[in-house]
Amino acid sequence: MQGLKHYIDFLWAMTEKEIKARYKRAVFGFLWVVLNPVLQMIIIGVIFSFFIKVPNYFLFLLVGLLPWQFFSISLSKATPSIVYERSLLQKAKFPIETIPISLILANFFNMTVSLVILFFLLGFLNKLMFPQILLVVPALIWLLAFTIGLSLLTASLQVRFRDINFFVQTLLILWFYATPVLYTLSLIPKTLYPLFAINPLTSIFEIMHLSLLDQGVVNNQIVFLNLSTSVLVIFVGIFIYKRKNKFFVDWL
Amino acid sequence: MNDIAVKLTDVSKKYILHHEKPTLVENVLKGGQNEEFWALEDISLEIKKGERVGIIGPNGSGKTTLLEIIAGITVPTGGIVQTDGKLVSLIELEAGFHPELTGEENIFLNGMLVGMSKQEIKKKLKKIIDFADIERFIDTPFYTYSEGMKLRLGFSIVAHTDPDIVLLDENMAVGDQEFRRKSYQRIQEFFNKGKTIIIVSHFLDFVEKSCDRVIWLENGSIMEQGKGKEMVKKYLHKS
Repeated sequence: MQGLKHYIDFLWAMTEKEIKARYKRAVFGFLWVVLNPVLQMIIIGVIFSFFIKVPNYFLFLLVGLLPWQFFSISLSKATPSIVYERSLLQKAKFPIETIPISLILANFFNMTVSLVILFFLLGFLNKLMFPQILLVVPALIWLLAFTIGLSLLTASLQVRFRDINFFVQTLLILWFYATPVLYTLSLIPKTLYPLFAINPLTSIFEIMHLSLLDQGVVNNQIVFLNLSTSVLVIFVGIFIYKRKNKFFVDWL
Repeated sequence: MNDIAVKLTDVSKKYILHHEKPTLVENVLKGGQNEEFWALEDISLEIKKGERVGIIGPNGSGKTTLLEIIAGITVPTGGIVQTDGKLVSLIELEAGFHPELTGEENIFLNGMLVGMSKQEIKKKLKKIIDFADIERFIDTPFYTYSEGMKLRLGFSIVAHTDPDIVLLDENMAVGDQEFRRKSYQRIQEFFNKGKTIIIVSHFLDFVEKSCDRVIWLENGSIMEQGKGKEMVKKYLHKS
């Protein structure tokens, strides 16, 4: 019991460090958490609204960009995180997974702050829909679990093969366009659905669109396949991490 | 295991040495060569509670690897390591601090890293700060600290963990005269409190004076072990 409490305290301290340290010397400080996705929304919106016809396009973009930013920042920071924090590993024995997980939790916190502001905005525009909006909760838990599982995998592999980080950077660019962030599945021909079935993020983002704006397409078959893939990735991530974490320090 | 603090059974540690070619092209074409290197071979060792053990040996004999294995920082390739009690290592003192956080924030993070609970740190915060002598800088970011301050704070945190087993590396002589005296005193306190202490050192005088038993490592194996005076004499004779 005491071990668990200490574990949670430590994980929280690491998360707090991430949240505090990131914006410490920035003039606008924490405001950047909100400013970043809004600026992105404006830039992307201005360009893509010529090609993609979705009602309320700017609002639609924001709903997708917040979780996407969480996912892409988390994965690209967590992947090299164990290598970067090598001095911690050489100092004492401690649960190493707290390094990537605390990074992800800090980003999750940042996203939640933006989402709460978005909720207020939607409420102000009289767009909040009950009980549909409650679907956001399982979608975010799913996103968090998948991000942690995948990051454990890439971070573990990165210790041994430093190519992984370069691969992840490239993958994220492709992944952005392969995920319904800029568009929704209703604009996609049904023949391409199998491609979306292998991308676990598809359903997460469509559920977000559906629950907040009533605009996503949630297809049971795709959801099932997305869930299965996510569970598989999470298990592989935990498995590889558990097997390899004892030897990390020898590879740093 | 009751009166034994550390027990190693047939512990070995293998490292893979990467021999890299000087250029990228050569590395890809000819491939780097890997060579096995046994840092430790079949070490069996029992250290009783309250015992003070010194480890001596030339550079590259496996002293630091042995300490890291006992600390649990790295795992042995073969064999079993058992430890009983709260363990703390005074190695890599300046590691694990975050440059953007203040001294106080860093004390909490670092203290938890080496196994203290949050409440424990809260209680000892004042003592830790006083000992490191950094009151004036406690709420300034860590990147403004001098090297000496970083080391002092690192030492102070670890020294306040109240461990059962203490692992010391030789670079414990940190800071100025005054701080060196204080840290030496603190280590003496550990001695007097009957803690189990394992010291890796080149300072043979220190080892001879303060250890009940001295282990002489040579090429990853235990060459001989025995009373401090005797071992140091033999070791000096040999080299």
